Amino acid sequence: MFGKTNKFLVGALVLILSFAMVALYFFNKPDYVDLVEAEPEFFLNAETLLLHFNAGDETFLKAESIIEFEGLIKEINTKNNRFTILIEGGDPKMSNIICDMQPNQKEGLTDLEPTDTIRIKGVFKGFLKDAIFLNCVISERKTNE
Amino acid sequence: MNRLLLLFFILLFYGINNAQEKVIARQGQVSFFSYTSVEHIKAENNQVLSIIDLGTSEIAVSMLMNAFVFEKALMREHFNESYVESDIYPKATFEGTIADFDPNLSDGQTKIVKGVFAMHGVTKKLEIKTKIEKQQGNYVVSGTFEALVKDYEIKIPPLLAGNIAERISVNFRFEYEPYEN
Repeated sequence: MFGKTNKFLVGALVLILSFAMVALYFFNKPDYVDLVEAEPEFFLNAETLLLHFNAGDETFLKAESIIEFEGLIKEINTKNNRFTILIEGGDPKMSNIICDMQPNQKEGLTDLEPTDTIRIKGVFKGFLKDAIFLNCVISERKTNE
Repeated sequence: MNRLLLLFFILLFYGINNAQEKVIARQGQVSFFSYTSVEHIKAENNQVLSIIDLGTSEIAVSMLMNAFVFEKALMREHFNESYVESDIYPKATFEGTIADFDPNLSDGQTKIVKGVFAMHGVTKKLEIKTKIEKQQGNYVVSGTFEALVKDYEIKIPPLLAGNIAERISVNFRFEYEPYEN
């Protein structure tokens, strides 16, 4: 029923549409990385992580790498309408780890409070006065009980 | 006479002590907007560091360029890799002074902040109109200003020129708390 030319046209159209759909998917892909299943490059405790930065070793961790760390919660807040956990690194007056939590972590935060120990996975962005991690997820939680 | 002297020393001590006080915002927010007929681009950085020395009215701001969150992943990739080159210039900083700032005033104040903004290896002098409020004893500083893309040597490919505004609107809001260190 279809001639050779028609088959070619239909094939080309399917190919163009497929390409357009793939391009559209990548163009509209939300700026969000789900770290729940992601494999971390390093596991560290918060104290060790911050000791390196406080010693001026700013290249200790590569920006954009996925890091898992454990430490004591200093504060949980909702500044800027985001869920953020501050992890302390031994000396409460020194630097902290700022963890900007993924929105789907909201439920896991309700029964957490300062001085609880927590294990978090996040994307390392860099160090200002504190180490900054985005897209954070709770990877394992332990309380001090 | 003795009471007057005592009062004088108490006020002097309070003044010196207050002058040395610094406040810090660890989770300041800086957002920018680019509006064109082709595309609207918005990004937010919620981990901007700022410290104010209440004694000298000096203000310092530092932010990681790769910590801006966009609506689409592709926008973030273009921003970091092609425009601000965040691997080469990871931070943007501002250092300045709040003109005529009175830290003891409990009412809102609108002040001009004069200083130097450094981004993408370019340093520019800026004067920013800023609103300073005291909320529950803590300072909240907010404002907005515009930046020209070409001033910071950000090169936009001709193909994407219509997608990015020449003038970017920047908003900021910092909630400060006492600096313990």
